[in-house]
Amino acid sequence: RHYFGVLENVTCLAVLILMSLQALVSFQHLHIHNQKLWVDFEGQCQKFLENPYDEMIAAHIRCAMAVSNGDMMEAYACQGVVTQSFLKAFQAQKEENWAIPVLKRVVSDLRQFALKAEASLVRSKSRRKPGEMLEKAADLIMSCFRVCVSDSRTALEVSKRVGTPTLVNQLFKIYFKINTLHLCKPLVRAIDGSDIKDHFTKAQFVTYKYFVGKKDMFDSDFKAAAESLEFAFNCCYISSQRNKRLILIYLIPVKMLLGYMPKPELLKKYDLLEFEDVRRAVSQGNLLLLSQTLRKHEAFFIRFGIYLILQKLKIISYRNLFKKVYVLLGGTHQLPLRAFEDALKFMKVEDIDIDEVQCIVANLIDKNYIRGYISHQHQKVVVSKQVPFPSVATLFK
Amino acid sequence: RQEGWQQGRGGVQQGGGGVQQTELQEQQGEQQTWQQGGQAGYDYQQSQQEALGTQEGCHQEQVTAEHQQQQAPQGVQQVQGEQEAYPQPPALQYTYFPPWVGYQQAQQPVQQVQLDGQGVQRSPQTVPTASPAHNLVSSNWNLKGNKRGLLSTPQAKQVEEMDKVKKKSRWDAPKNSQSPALAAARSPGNAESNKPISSSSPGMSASSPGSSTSSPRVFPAKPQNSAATSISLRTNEKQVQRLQDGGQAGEGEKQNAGVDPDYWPPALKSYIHRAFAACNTPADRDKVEQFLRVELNTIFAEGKQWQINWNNYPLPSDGNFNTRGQKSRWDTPSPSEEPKTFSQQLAEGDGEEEEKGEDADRMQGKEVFKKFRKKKGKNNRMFISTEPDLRFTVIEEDQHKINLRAQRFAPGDKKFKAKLSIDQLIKSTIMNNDTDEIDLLQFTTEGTSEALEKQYLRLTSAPDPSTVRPERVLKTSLAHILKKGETLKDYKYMCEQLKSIRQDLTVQGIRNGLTVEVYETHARMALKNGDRDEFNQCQTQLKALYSEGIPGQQAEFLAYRIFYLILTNSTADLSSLLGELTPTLRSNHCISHALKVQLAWLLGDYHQFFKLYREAPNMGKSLLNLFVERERRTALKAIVRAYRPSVEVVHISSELGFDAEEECLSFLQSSGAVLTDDCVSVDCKVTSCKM
Repeated sequence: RHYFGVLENVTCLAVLILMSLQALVSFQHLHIHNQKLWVDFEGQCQKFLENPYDEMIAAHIRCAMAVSNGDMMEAYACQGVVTQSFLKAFQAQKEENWAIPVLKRVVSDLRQFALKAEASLVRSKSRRKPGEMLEKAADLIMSCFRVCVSDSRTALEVSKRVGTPTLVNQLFKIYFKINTLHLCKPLVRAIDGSDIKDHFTKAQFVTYKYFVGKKDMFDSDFKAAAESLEFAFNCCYISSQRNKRLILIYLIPVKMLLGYMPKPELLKKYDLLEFEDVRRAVSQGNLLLLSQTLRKHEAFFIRFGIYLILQKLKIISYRNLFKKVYVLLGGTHQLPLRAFEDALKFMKVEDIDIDEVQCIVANLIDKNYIRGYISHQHQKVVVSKQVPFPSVATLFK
Repeated sequence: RQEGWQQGRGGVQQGGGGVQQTELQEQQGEQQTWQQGGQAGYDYQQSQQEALGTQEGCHQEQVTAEHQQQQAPQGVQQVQGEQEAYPQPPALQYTYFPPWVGYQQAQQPVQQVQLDGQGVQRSPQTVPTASPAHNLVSSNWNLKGNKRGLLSTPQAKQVEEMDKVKKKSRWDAPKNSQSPALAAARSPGNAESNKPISSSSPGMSASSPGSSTSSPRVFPAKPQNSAATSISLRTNEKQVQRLQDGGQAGEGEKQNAGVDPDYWPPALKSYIHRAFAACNTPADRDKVEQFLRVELNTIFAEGKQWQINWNNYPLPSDGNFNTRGQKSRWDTPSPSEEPKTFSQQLAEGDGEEEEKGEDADRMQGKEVFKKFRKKKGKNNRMFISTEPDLRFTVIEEDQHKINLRAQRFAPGDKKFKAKLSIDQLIKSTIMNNDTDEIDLLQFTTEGTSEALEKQYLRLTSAPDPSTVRPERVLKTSLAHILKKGETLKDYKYMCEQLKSIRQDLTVQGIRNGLTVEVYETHARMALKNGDRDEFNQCQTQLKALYSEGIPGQQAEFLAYRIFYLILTNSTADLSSLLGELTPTLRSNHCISHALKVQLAWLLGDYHQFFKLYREAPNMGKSLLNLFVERERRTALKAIVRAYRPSVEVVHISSELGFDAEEECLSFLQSSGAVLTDDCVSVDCKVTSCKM
């Protein structure tokens, strides 16, 4: 009853609300464990609260019941109602944005319940297609996002636009979970086109940059990815070790592709020793070690979706290997293709013939890793006299 | 139960506070509202609050009246003349209390005591009767109240009576043109009227429903004395008579003119007469009545009735009406708005425990919310004390809110309603997209059509079973079409037939080996004919079917999916697809081939890629064909950049997976490659610059 008493006042009062309503519809607040709330809560809600707050709170309490019964589908559905009802109220508030912290809470809970609902579906071997719950949650959050973005004419202090960063981040989380990265693009564009991009909090911006960086990585725009991820890593809260590690998992491969190898201390510090052999293999041009270590830590790399990115490191490894061949041959500028073939065979690369070697070298020349040309007629690679193997890092500057 | 008491107490304080209401009192008013929280009396509270700081003597009556009104349904019959039967409080008490209030307040604690017996624990502050509390309020009240009390008592009594009559006449429509109120007033010893007194609490205070006419909203917010009230009420009486007399308002006025000549300038009387005469419809009359009451109350309060030139005074018109939404409430008293009587409340007995607990909780909470309440109260007063127009809009708004709130407590199973609404909400929010799937599973009706061939039409409504073929027929139909297709080689025809089979399967909810077979057949056929969209549709369906555990050529189609993702450059999807592969799948030659293709594509290793392209199992080559051109172009670009001075066409042709040199030449030409003079090599330098 006290809960309702507080609620009643809270929904009317703009000052208290911020903290209270946020707490009252949150699942990190103690009231969730108060079973007394469950008695006729719907009637109580109607009695004390105005629409749509009554719906919102009733659904919230029902959600709490569902959680304690372990029914995640129900909990998720109720949280959906909470979101919808909240959005109704939120939309009706013109020129005010005090409810944004509540929005954050509600939306974040929605996503987490969607995740749990998804997990419970998998467990029950439902015939629903995977990702369905998350998709619907994303739809709901998207409608919140639209409300926030479209509130563009009001002054920033009272504008709902302030809510977009948090919503974008929540949407990113879902889109990356269900692999619908193409949906991220319009979001990024919306943020870039809005003045809000300068008004992210640092935490929000770190999260945002993390996802944007990841997205750039999958789009093979490694330079942009490195920039975003580096920002995220540098600005990430120092004691958020887990987050820093997550950022590094994407930042390291990207940086290696750009020619920067991680220091062993870094890998040690963030418990990323899976990358240790990768680093060593790439810088040595040790293709054998590279394929071995990729196979060894395949599960880890696949889990984070970087297996294919790491495969691309083979190109850098070829370059490093061929540079070694060049050095071994005493700095001559006419390198026989046969020498490269031998080196690759030494590394136990499958299906190697002279045409394959030509193909690899052609690609390296095309991408400027090697300065020179292939003489098909003489089966030789003629490399530049100045800088036959320019440093990889300089290529991307 | 407590409402009455609270109101009574509030009334005293309000009376005591006089014109300059203190915040404390407003707050108290607010608290009353709050404590009643959702009980039927809410709107009365609201109105009482509006009256705060605006009325004095008359307000006491209102409070009483309100209280009585809450118990009205029970008391309508008994009421008549009841006021006379009340033992009049001794004269001394009059100096402290306005007539009804004093009595009511004296009675309320009795009820309270009874409640106490039932376990309601009152805090000490609420126990004392009104009189001590009353003594605490500002001293000028005593002086004023004394005077006012004496002055107002008989008038108020009369007013009450008249009100009653008016209400009665409205509701019961007695035919007598003589005011029964007057008659009743002259016979105080009415036997019937003794009943309510003897009955201890609720009946006693049960009173005229007519008091709703004196609901505080009727009164203007400006300070006025009780005399003004009585006059305004007398106006009511007059109007009542008008109604009774069927429009002979003039007569009624004349009658009344004799009652209180002091207050009624003749010019005013004729003014009123004119006002009513201008009305055409009963609705208009009601409006005029309403307006006049407000208007005259103000004027009487200010004592200007003799100063105004009534002959020139503007008649009420639509322009200056202040319809305050009261009329509708009046004409159609909704049961939900009818307050509960004490006994009703008792009968309902909705949890003594609960009520008590609620109160206790709120008492605690009070401190916290006082500030807020106070603020709200202040706002209200600010509105009241400013321009009247503004005030009216505010009131109207409030009225709307009140109605809304009242609706919420309308009879009906609230719980059920609420529950239902949330269930519905759940359906409408999260589960809304389920319709497709549920619909599919719901189709249990089997088709009856025996046709082997059927034209595909996009369904826009529920399917007609007579045009849908059952599974048995579909099986033969598939075989028939495949046989026909061998000779016909018309992809368009085949596609249509397969689509109609797919549709029939879908609408009947058939998801089994046959379904997989149909989709696989169609997917392969689409690949063969380079129909990317159709292939993708089939592939998506197959993915779902396989995940349901229906066996088929899963590995083959997984390999196709890898190719398809390469085609769409979906690195992220490819990465996650890798996670789905089990070791068994991985060792499948289709899939391992596809994975090699993927790696070659990733590294731009055209040599590997086209080697694998040649070896592609099943329909893989058809799918690779969809993007092989793209790969060739990037490869050619690399080649012309890497080779110097030239590279033979034969080499390019074999590296880029061409079957014949001619094909390669036409490709080179279309890519803008420049051949050397002997036409056997590509001039890389020139081509590279050109590209």
